[in-house]
Amino acid sequence: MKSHVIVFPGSNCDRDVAVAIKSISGQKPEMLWHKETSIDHSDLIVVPGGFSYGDYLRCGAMASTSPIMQDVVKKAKEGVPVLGICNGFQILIESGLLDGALMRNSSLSFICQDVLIKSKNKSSVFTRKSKLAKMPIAHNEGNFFATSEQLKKIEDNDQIAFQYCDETGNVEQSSNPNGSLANIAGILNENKNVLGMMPHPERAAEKIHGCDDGKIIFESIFN
Amino acid sequence: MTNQNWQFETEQSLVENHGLKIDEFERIVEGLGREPNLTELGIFSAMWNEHCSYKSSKFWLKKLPTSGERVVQGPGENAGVIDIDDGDVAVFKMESHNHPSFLEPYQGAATGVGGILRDVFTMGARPVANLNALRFGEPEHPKTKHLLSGVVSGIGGYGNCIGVPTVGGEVNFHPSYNGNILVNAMTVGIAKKR
Repeated sequence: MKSHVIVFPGSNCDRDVAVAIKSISGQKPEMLWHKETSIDHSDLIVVPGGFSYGDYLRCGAMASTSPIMQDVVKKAKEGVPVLGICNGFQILIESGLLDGALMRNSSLSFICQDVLIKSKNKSSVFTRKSKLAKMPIAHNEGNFFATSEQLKKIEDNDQIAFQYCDETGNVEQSSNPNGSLANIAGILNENKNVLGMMPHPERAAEKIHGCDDGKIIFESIFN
Repeated sequence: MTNQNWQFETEQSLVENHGLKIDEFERIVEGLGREPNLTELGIFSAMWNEHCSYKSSKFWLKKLPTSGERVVQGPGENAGVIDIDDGDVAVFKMESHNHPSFLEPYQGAATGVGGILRDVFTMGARPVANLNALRFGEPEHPKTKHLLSGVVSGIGGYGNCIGVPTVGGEVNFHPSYNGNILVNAMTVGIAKKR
């Protein structure tokens, strides 16, 4: 399976995600600098986390206009799986591939901690191996918002991928780290081939990370 | 504080305003073989201040070891290099940005991080971790809250954007730092030994 990881100036999770992809799929992904204009055949395109363009203007706003993103959008519309993690999620929203917006955390501060997430949609290419999973979040702008019409469409169409929850799988306000609407930690597009998520599965992909629950996302894609 | 024995042509107040002590000025005159001109005085003022020359810290720093079996590069370069086996070397350094941060906490701390990152990558190493050691005045002091939040934002604002995580540090509060805080930034990098 051929994977690609896009690298913007300021991306910093690209190498970690490449390590996770190599270890789980057996194949090293191709790292694509944001100035490239086309991606040849791909089975997975990853838009990694970090601080693309230093989060200037709005998180992901400038990256979404990078040359490579035009082809990412085209490939996504053709059905290629696209995974956006953290800043990647922000970039996918700015690119129009996902609905809603990611606002400043309700606490107004950067949060770095482990969270528990449960899968809502259990059939997409990313969420076939679903279980209660622990993963780290590290973000300042992860507060998912959508209009009531958008939220209804997302809910009706089974587009909620992950929700923050407690150890028993309860979706409560107390388990919501950033104020996200409906405790949303990740959403899919209408065709379920594009996933954006705030937690970092690549940081919980090996035993040495302290937890390898994040593997399920990659295993779902590659197996 | 006027010294009755001031024997130089340069105005003593000018020397004092440049932050130089009498014995420092005497040393300059001896070294140059004449009194410095205004530009030279400015250069000595900048190069001999605490921030640039670690004047008061040097005494203590000199007590630390600088050589050993694993030392690939000791003092004298942008950062130190230690052999960590498997053909790898750790390249690291810590530097202070105290007074700049006291004056302008965000930019002072941010440029402190930037500068230390630079010291490591100019040695050909890839920075992989940032750390910091901070000291602020007592929590009730009117400046502390502003300094603390500015320094923390500055460290994050630079370090995060450049993709190097801040993995550890320490903070302490004590009245002795009411008049000047300590902001020490450290970067650790990795490289292949050649």
